[in-house]
Amino acid sequence: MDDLSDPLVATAFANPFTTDTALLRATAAGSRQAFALFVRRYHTAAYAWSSHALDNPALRARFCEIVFRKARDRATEAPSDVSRWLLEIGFDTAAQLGVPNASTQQDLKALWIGGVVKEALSHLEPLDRELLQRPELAIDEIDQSRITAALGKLRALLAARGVLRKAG
Amino acid sequence: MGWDPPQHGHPTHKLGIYALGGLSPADEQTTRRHLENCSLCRAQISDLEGVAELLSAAELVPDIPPGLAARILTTHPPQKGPESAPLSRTDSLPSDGEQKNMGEKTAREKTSKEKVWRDHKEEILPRSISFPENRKPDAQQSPDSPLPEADPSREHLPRTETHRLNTKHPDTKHQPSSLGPTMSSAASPRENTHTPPEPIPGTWSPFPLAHSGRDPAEETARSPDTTDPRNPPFSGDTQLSSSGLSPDQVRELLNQMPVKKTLGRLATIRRSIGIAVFALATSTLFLTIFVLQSRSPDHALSLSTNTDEISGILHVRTNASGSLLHLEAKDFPEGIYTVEIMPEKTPSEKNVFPENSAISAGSFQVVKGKKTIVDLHTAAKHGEFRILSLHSNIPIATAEIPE
Repeated sequence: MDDLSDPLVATAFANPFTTDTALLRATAAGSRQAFALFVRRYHTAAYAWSSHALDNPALRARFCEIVFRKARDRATEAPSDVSRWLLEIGFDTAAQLGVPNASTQQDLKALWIGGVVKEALSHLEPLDRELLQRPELAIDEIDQSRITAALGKLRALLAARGVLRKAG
Repeated sequence: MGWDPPQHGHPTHKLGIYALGGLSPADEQTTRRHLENCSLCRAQISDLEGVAELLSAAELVPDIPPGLAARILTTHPPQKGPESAPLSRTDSLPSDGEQKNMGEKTAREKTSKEKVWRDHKEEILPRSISFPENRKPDAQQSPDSPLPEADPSREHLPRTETHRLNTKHPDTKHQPSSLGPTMSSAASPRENTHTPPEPIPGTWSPFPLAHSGRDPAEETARSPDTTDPRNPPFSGDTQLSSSGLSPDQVRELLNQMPVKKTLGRLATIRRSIGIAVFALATSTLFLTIFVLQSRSPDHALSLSTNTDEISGILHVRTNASGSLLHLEAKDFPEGIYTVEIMPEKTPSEKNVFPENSAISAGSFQVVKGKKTIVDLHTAAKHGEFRILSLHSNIPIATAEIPE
């Protein structure tokens, strides 16, 4: 099941709004491409998290490998809130590695969410990203409308990743 | 991404930049005043503000090292086992204190590895070097030197002989001689020189000119006249003459010696190999054509549209896996066609695919002077198909029947 004949994977590639749960189900069914998409979606968050907890860059990459390996092993769980589920896997891994009180550190959670947001931003057009980061560049109503639309798209992307509730 | 024009009475286009705090003070005050009175815009701005707050979190994220995702994906998948199994010792990461010492530890391990390799090299390399010039004098060798003791039986031998023994070069001296005392005695003067092996008469030798150990020019100058019976060209003549044959008979026999026979055999083998290769290539070609034809049947179908009888040929081929149909339309009038293809199900497939579940539908346009090929996916993996329907947008008046 490594080609786009898998409807879940084909949908995921065509649509970045595919939910994490769908990706995990496809991963549990044996799709490596769905797992690749899942890794691509969350490796920024995992690395951001590890960059705060671990000093050695090589160890950060190793931490990411362990977290995603665990996620792959437990993909059959397919929870509804995958982002929180993966974050808990990260906390468990950190606890086993001896990082003190990882689950109570708010800055770690903020970093995790920041990683998810950064990955979601990569699905926007470059001009939209720039306008979101520097709204003072909007000079007319068209730019202002782009900002509003880009924020709406970003919200939908984050909702698919469980960071925000779906609108409505 | 399109943009919504400002709705009448609602500053929708400004809500995003308002959430980001990028409006001018005057615009911001106007928008805030509108939001106080408009529940629709208030609901929208609360959603956007939630996203805008998260944007600042993304700025804290450091740059990801390139290739991280690929590294994660190329990691070998874990073996099946208990999901809650604790990390093994190899999986665990060192604590903070251990991390600080990691640089020193790595350097120590590197030094240790280099020492092991150096010891290993010192132990192994001398064993593999057995040439005399690389041997140390016995006085310089340590008592526990791993070097083997020099073989006293070889010490008296000249260097060439030692080399010959080390390299186990074939020598006629060490082979059982079947040529009699004449040939053995002919080899004895060159016993202690490193020369190519003495060729057996009548057989191919890799050293055709150097086997006598003389200079080729000298060899040529000293080559005997082949017509002179008193000076036979081949040392084996003496042995053969002693068996009662005259030199002429010997020469005649020599002409029939295995050289020519061997060459003839080689030519025959070469011809046989050529014929075999040609036969193999031809059979492979025919086999390939046969397989392709059997897997890719062409169906020349005369089809009808919903408007008029139109004769055309629709070639249907399948790809190698049988999952894709290539339709090539020929002799169709210009127009847009829709087609439905139904695989002829085998009895086993009839149980798998319900009725009409494997129909592949598609459309194609026929343009004059262009080849029309359309690909359709199919769920059935075999080569027999039938056309369920073919429709065209061609009106009756303009439909032409090609010749």
